[in-house]
Amino acid sequence: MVNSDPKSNALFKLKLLSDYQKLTSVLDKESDKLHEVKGKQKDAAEIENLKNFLNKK
Amino acid sequence: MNLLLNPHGHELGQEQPGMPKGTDEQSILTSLNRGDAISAERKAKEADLPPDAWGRIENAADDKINKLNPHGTTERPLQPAQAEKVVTLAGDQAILNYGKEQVPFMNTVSESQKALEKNGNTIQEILQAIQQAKKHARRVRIPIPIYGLFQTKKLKDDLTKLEGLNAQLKNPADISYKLQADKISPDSSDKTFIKSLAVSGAGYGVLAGTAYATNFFPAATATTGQAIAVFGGFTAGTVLYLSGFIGLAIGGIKKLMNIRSANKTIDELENLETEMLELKTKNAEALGQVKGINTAYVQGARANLGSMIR
Repeated sequence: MVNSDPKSNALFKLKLLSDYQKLTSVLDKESDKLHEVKGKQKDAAEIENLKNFLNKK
Repeated sequence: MNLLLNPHGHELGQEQPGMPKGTDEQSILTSLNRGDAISAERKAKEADLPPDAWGRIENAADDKINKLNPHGTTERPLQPAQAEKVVTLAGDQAILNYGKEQVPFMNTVSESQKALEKNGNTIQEILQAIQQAKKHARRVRIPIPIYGLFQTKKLKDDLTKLEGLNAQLKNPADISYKLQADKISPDSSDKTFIKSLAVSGAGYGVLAGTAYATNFFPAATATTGQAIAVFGGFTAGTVLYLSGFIGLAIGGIKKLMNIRSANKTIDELENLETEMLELKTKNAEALGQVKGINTAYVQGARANLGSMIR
């Protein structure tokens, strides 16, 4: 763990922040992918609706 | 040729071993202040700095950590254990926020948690209002006409307040129903990442937070599904029933409000208090279960994201 040495404490806290940054970065990427997939699904559904509409005409 | 030099006369980006330490410190602080803790940590591992420089870096790190703390603190330097707690909680919240966005079930859990937390506060207020009402009901018995009428008015105000508080009690969502709905039609786009979250180091059984993913892990279905069903039945049934009871009880008490029925009024208020204490316990249990689901989800996510974030 950590002692009262300023270097150890600083390194420990930088590691905490670094790990947090890695975590949020992964989550952000996954979130972007999710939005992309959902966007594509929405587009596909709209195209399908349009096709159905045109077929009925 | 004009070279860009640092204050020590060395070309920028070409710092030599043995050069003044301040440059490393500044570089670490710059990375940190830019929000690039990964880079700051990498540089710090290689740096050889005097204790006062490490102190300044620690202070800058404390500032960043404090920004992750919704409650904030002026304590300096932060105790390492406290710093770890703040960053861990912030990470947990980031995972839960992601979960709410990605998995409808986790969004429902979050809404239930908010409702149960609010119920907990409301129940506490109701219990205090019941104490007030009992006090005024006892005074109604004092046979001084105007004083008695005055206390009856106060008692009526107490009961009106109780009715208002009662109306604030909300039933949390029936999670068992939500789970079933999600199982029938899971969003295929979620599959890959849910799958990565769902294999928990904590074991399938406690991974209720990712019960949504049971399509991928049939062995986990029975245990997690059952846990959720119990939770959903509990919250939807019990809280709804007691919430209705309060409304009826207060209506009954209002009819009794006069000097001849003061004792009966007090009895009714005590019955109501008993029921509210029971509701308080059950609400706290339900909240514990919701938090357990969140904890399981976070643990599962951390266990499975481990290799991705190291």
